[in-house]
Amino acid sequence: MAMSYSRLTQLRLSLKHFRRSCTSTSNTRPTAGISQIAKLGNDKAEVEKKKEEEDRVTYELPKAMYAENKKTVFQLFSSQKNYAIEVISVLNAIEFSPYGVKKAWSDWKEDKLVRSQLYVKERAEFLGPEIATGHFICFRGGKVRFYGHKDWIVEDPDSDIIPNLPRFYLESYKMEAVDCSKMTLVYEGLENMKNMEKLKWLSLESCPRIDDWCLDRISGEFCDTLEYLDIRNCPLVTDKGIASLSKMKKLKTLLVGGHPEAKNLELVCLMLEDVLPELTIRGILYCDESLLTNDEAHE
Amino acid sequence: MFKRAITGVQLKPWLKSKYLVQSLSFPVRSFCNSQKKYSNKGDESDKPLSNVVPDFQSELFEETRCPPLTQPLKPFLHPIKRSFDYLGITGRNDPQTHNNLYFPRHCDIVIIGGGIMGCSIAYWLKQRGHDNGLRVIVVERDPNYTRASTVLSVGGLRQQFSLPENIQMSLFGAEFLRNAKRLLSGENLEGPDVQFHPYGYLFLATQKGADQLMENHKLQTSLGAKIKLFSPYKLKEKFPWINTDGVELASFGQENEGWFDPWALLNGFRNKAIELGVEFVKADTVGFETEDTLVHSKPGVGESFNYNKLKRVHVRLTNGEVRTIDFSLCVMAAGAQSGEVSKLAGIGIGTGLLRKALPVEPRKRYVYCFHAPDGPGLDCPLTVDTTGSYFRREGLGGHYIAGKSPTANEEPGIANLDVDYTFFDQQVWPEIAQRVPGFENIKLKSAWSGYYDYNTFDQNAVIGSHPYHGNLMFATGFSGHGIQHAPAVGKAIMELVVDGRFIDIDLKRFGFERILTNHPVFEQNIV
Repeated sequence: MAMSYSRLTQLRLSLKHFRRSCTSTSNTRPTAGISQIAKLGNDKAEVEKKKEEEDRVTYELPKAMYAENKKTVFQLFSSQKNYAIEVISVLNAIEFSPYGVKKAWSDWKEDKLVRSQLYVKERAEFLGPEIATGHFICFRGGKVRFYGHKDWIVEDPDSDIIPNLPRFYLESYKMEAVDCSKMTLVYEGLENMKNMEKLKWLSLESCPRIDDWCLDRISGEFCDTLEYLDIRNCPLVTDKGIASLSKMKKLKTLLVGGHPEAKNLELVCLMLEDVLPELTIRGILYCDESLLTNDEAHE
Repeated sequence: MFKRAITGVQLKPWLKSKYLVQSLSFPVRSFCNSQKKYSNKGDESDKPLSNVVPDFQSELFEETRCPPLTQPLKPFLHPIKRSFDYLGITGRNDPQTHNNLYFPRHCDIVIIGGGIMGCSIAYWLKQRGHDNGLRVIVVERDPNYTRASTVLSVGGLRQQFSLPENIQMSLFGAEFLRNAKRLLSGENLEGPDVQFHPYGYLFLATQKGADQLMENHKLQTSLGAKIKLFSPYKLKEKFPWINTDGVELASFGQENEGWFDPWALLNGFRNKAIELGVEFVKADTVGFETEDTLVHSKPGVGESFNYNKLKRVHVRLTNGEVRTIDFSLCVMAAGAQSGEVSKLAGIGIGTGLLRKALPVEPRKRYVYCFHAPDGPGLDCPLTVDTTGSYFRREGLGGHYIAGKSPTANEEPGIANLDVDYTFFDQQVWPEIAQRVPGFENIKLKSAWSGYYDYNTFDQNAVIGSHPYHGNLMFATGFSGHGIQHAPAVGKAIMELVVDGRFIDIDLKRFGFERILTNHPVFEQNIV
């Protein structure tokens, strides 16, 4: 049977990429391309890079194949992406109804808050993770304390400077305690507190935006080192978040209280104390003495 | 009219119907019996292709013939009764009148299946195409979701996969769940409380699987997931209730892993979609109608040709009436029944590109709930044992949930959702009791079963359009881990529809083409 294909189809079928579609196991992957490279005697890194490139599936024809790309001035204005739908989105950005305007305003404020707390890679690279966290927390109204220093480092309310906080990388500065009480820290902001080696003390008292996801992040981040955690008056925390603190094996003191959403707070705290033997939880009243009758109270 | 085949002209991959953007890049689809319609100077002579797989070669010459699907249907409406309905003479509360007046007869996008995938896709599409920009209809035959896989699922969220696409989709899913309350809220609508339990996933591996686990771990951490590896000694230190016999390596997800409430997420998506203007139709899909459509020629590339394009879907309402909905694009998100419904569109019963059916079929899986007073405490993650059984804590009262994927020859029948308790006694309980000595003393409380939309080809999703039916997109075949990928898949389909390509997460590898070219994409270690 005569195999008649268009020239295009033949070329596409002959392209290496056609067969390099979707296997992930090395048994079925054709090895023609890789052995050719190995024969050239390149080092392993290049071979792996080539393997990676070949693994990536490309189904697009080389552009020279079709005579679409006429060289005109108007090509400067053409783009791959069809921007028509973006134009409509921009024109419909704010719905002019009471709800729409309120929503747009609150979305904008939320976006502003999150963007002000995003993780800045350059800051952490320049200052090192410990001092970068110190800068992040103190500039937003918190307090930090390093090992070997007795005093808390806090922003001076009158002026804008933060005394005693180094502005360069110093190896000896390791964070011991962070006090974020009453700060509006969001989930994205907690990313700034990563890679700290020996954090022992953390207070998130009265932070209105701390919820179960934030506690999940904290317990995942500081599971090996944290010994004191204070989450009083965080209204969004439920018993699921408190239960996730069971990952922190070294936790010695936990302060809870003021969680209207946590329906089974006492039970969770009891079970938490079961799992973490060194833990004492303060702020929980397991037994309400006023409910006992006179005889029981005297026992 | 229906028996037209593609003769003579080649089916070019970059020529799609006139409704889609021209700068699409599609995988190779030009497998036809073609003769050269044009010849360029300096053409290569016809020579046999040597590097094509032999069994594929024979199939390249097949014509793609779409079999006759359904007869065109025009629902008959009695003219006098119709006039009475329009004039309001018959009662408006009559469902028949409601159907006659308000049943949608055409739309831009019809989504078959109103489970988590269907609702997610509807939400993302409508959110991008403002108000009346896109008309989206979701055809769901059971709005109470009595047999839907979504509401019967265990609701796990994990990033511990071995394919980068799956990991990225789970990471996006976690981010979406975190913001679900805000994103899915609206005027008069409160966002869902997905009740995320951040307790992590623990995978145990024997000596054989340890290497694969370490490779997976490298990939997962490089994409941003926080997973930690444990040796048996450290594992015993962290989880004293575990028996580490036979465990060589364990990987524990420390962040963004756990389980959530799929019913809440489904309702969140559905209610927000309804608020944005998606129409939900309670009907069963019974057929598709095609129309001979002209695909335009592209200069320098190829000539125009005709093919059978899907134009209309026939749906049967609860009262037995069959109605039609014209659409421009169809999304197949029917879950476990996707394979059957795709057959109605000719996929699997034609020739050429339509020769392979969508390999998604329902597979029944059991989930058992028991009480164990000596079981692990608050730190019990969703533990997947080396044998494949899994268990997790449920609530705070000492209840646990367990299950296992049966082997190929033990597959239960799919006729109904009855539970087989002997499977628990013989298979699941011995294995979890061996792993956790505290599970030796238990009392089985209840159980339920649900269907996996099981992809028999490689147990991974099928996402993307069909090679022949360019306006039929699949979002199905998740084989047990669909619920956590739902937000990401919805967004991916939305990008495919509106922008023509995947932007956020590249899911090209999950396309339908791999089924035709027989290149499976396997996931190592699945539940």
